Amino acid sequence: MPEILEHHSALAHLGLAARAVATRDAGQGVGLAEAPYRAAVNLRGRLDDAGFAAGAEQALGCALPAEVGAVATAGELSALALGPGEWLVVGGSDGPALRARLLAALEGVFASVVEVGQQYATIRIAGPKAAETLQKGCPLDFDAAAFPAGRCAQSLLSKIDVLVWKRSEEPAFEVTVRRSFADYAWRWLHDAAREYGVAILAG
Amino acid sequence: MAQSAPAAARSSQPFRLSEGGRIDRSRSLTFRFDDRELTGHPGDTLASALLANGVHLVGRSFKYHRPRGIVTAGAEEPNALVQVGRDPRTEPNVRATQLELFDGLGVSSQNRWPSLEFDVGGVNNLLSRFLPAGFYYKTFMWPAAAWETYEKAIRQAAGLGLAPSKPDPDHYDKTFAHCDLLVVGAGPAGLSAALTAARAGARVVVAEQDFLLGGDLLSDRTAKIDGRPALEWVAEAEAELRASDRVRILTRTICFAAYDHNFFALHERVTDHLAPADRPEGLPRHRLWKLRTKQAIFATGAIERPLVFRDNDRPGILLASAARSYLNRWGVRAGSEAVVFTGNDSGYATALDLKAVGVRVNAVVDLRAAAEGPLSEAAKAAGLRILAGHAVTGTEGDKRIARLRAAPLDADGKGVRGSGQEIACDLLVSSAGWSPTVHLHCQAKGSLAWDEAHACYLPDRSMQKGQAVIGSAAGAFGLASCLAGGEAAGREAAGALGLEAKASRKKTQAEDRDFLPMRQLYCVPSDKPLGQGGKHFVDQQNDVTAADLLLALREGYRSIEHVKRYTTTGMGTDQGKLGNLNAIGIVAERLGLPLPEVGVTTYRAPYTPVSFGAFAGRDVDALLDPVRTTPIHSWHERNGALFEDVGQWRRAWYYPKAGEDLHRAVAREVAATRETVGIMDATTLGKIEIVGPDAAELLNRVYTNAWSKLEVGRCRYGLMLKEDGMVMDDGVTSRLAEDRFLMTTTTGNAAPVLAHLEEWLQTEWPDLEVFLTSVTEQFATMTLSGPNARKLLAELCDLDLSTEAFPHMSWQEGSVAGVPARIFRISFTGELSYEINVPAGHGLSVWQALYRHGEKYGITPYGTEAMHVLRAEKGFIIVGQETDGSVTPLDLGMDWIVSKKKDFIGRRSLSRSDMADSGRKQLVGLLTQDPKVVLPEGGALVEAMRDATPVPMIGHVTSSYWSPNCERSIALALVKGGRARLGKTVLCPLEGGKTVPCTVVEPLFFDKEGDRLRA
Repeated sequence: MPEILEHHSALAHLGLAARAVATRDAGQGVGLAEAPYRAAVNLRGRLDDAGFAAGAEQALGCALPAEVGAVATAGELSALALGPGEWLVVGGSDGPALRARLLAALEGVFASVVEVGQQYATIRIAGPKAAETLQKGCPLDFDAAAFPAGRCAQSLLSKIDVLVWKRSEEPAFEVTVRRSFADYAWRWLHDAAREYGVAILAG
Repeated sequence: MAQSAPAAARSSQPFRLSEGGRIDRSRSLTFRFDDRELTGHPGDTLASALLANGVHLVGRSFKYHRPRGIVTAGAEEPNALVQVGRDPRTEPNVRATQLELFDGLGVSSQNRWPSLEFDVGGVNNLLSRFLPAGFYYKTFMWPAAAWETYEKAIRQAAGLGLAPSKPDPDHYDKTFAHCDLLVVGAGPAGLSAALTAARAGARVVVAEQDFLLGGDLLSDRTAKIDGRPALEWVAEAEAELRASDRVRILTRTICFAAYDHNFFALHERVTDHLAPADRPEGLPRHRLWKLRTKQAIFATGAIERPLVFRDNDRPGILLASAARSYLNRWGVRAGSEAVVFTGNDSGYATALDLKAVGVRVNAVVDLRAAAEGPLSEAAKAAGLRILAGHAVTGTEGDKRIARLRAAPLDADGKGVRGSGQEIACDLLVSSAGWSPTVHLHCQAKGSLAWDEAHACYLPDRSMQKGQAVIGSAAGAFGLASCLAGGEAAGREAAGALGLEAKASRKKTQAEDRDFLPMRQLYCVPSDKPLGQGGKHFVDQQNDVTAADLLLALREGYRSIEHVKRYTTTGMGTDQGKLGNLNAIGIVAERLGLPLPEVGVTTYRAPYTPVSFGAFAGRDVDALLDPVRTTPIHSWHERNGALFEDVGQWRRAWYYPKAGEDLHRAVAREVAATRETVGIMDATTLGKIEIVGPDAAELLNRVYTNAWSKLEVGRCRYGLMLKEDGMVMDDGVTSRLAEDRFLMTTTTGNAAPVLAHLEEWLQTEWPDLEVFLTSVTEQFATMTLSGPNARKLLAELCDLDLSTEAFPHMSWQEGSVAGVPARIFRISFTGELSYEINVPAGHGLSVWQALYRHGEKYGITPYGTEAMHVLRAEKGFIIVGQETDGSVTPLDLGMDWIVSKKKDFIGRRSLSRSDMADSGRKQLVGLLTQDPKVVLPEGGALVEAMRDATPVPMIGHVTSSYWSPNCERSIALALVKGGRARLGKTVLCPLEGGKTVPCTVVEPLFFDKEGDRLRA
């Protein structure tokens, strides 16, 4: 009979949960946390194809954002515009279901729906020095005017590709990397934040 | 510090004034210079503290080992370079003029042996007539082979200071940054600009190399702004700027480089000024700022130029402005009996300030026929002895100036009359004029314009948008001009940013004093011809004299860039901040050209030296490069795997048991895989999902073989060529659905292959309806391989695994250990194999389940080394091992995979006549005639040995292993005309004269019929 198998996050080997402190004890520096698994689908298509736009909107509950870096959210799903004709749809914890939902809505339309939630890891970085820490390795401008809440961007953190998403007005960012780079990204951010004080937070 | 410290400090700092300056006399700091213990105060630099203690001799010069002293009070210092700290936390060539004093600071003088006071190398000074410019070029040219001998001796004698012998124990930081306006320099002009722009709401970064704001105002005891001491205005400006969260003030930060589009590099010394015990734990030592701004204002000030006269390099000879800084900022008199030597009005400011604190000013020697100008008049009124129309013609003194001679100057400035009078002094200060610090403007390719009146280059046209130069850097030498220019530039920058800067209600009031009139002499004559009876130093750091420059011209050099390189003037760590214009002036005069026609040498970054640590930042040790690991990595570690790096991936190499070396472990892993079942982590293979109606067409175009007819559920091996027809990558691609394929690539080529496909799709075939998505890391991939693979997998899988239901080169979706899986029946080992792909997060659990169930079969994890042996036994190539970018499919004997019916990338290149040349290197197998000998990979192959070398090489070994299954060594090789040599013997000569004879065979050693694969 099938066994119930454990799912391991990209940073499971660091034992972060046991080292986490409460947010109120995080201090005035930087808090770091590994976000739990989140379903994700890479969605490609042509927005000027009415069938594609309508199908995606039907599956998501909101229109796909056209401008690169914009994010549209409906319920637990968000669509992050990664580039021209490319979105990362994230939300919930059932990747195959999310994929199936989009595939069904885009039946017969030229589109690509590929499940990618397992291949990413997301690190949340928060606190008054969060932007300054990211800034050390990322050439984007994190000033609130240049990178307002509700925006995302693909860039580099040191030597690795990252997707940065500022979800709210809080001084906090989600940094999404390929799973095998998560260990490097975590250690890098931890080291970069060292001068401000680093607290590990629960995911 | 003890309560009695101030009294003790005063007595031990004989040249410290009892009041005045920006130092804290209530605390004393102890420091060590060579073996002397001295004291200073917070606020001191090493230079000011040394001068307070009467120490002028601080180093020996680079070439002649002449005694040298402190010349300046800033970044332009050529002489006072010291070694700070102890190995390994030590740094050479630190400018004493910028080194902040802390308690316990230890520094050593440089370039002297055995001691600063008695230096053996000083003999070079006596031999100096034999060491002219270009001495090394001329002397060590021949014979060329001897250079290796010369070099050791020259290297020993060359260089200042010592590099640390061990790794740097400190850590460093680097960061990007953005702002609306960068203001470089926080003197009156810079502060005024920053205030104006900040008040308009701009995001401002102010970078100041000093640890205090104020610039030249820190050295001015009389300057007033709005009727109050100027430093009060500075303090208020600083407080206002610091109160804004849109302003960042970076002190101890030098903007050392300007690049295109307002990109700047800044070097911040974060903790150097603190005693090591006081350095906060997390703080980096230095920080590199990579700053992008919309607007930039350079308020970088001006550097005073020294006069070039005979023996102008003795300790106790300073810039006039430096002596004034030491007096006013640090409360230090640099001597007791002074002479001021000037060609303009600003030298008089120093004369007046020195007199005001009781230093005897024995004379002001003024090049000008008449001393004119507001300060000259004040000096006359104060009763100073002025020798107008005179020149200093020489100096004397052993390790400190003791006296000088001054003589009347000819009207044309080319000679002096008589031998002049002797004047005693222990301090000589000189001022030739001021050179605006135009470095950033010029690095950004801005042009210069010659200002004849001030004898200096001024910034002219900027080549970048949004850049301005203000204050004395732009030739506005008066305080009022600096303030007004700053405000105007701040307002203009704000306007360009779309912000509105309100004009201040009233104009800031200040004096606007220039240093004119001036008389410029680039080389002050003496009573002897140049180069005789003494030296006129132009570049003190590199010991370049006026005579050296003239020698270069006599030897035919004309371009100032060539003169610079031949004489090395301006090539020291100070980059000629003091000497360059004097050098250009001397060259212009001798060539009879107007100075602007000689041009200037190129301004290059960095403005001042930057530590390697700052450039490295945290890109060191474990963070130097990412180490990518698979979801199963922790299992490999726990089970004793050794790892090898494949690109950034760290893959399990082999799993030695107690007492096993590589060969025994690999032999065991290989044997187990052929006899029962092995398991390997193949997660790192690149995976690309190809989706769209034209997916098959894309594959047709990028692979050499045809794909349209591949059925859903089937897999096919493909070979991908570059445009030049050479093998680029290979792998198995499977049809997931009518419009969906999964391509696998080699581990190292995952990203390049994706980029290759995207480039063709985006630039050549935008009409193809197909999208590519990398899914390399979506899956953990494990390969079960061996006769028992099916039995084991069946225990955990819901699929019918029989060959009829699940044949070789097909795939199915099912579940393994309850986890959804894509299972591919493909093989790289030649055994019955299943590649199991499960969601990455379940990889470890599935692996463990397979392993647990496999134990009864003797399941054996195998690493990359065993995989290489297994595939070599089958003659399967590895791209990058059997290929090197010069190998075609035909060379590999893989004609069977090259379609003759369709076009694909690289096809046309394959039809070149050279591609069919029978002499090309072709892939073959090699069997050593002694089966126990394993050839070295990379070993060269020859037809026959002969005495004359070189022996023509006909190929090389690409892969070589001990094959446990063949019970002998096997090898693959690329050999010229290899296939025609089947059955023939080639030789592999080894180091030490041994030669291994090998028989050329087909590249296939095991299970030649492939029965095991299809079992």
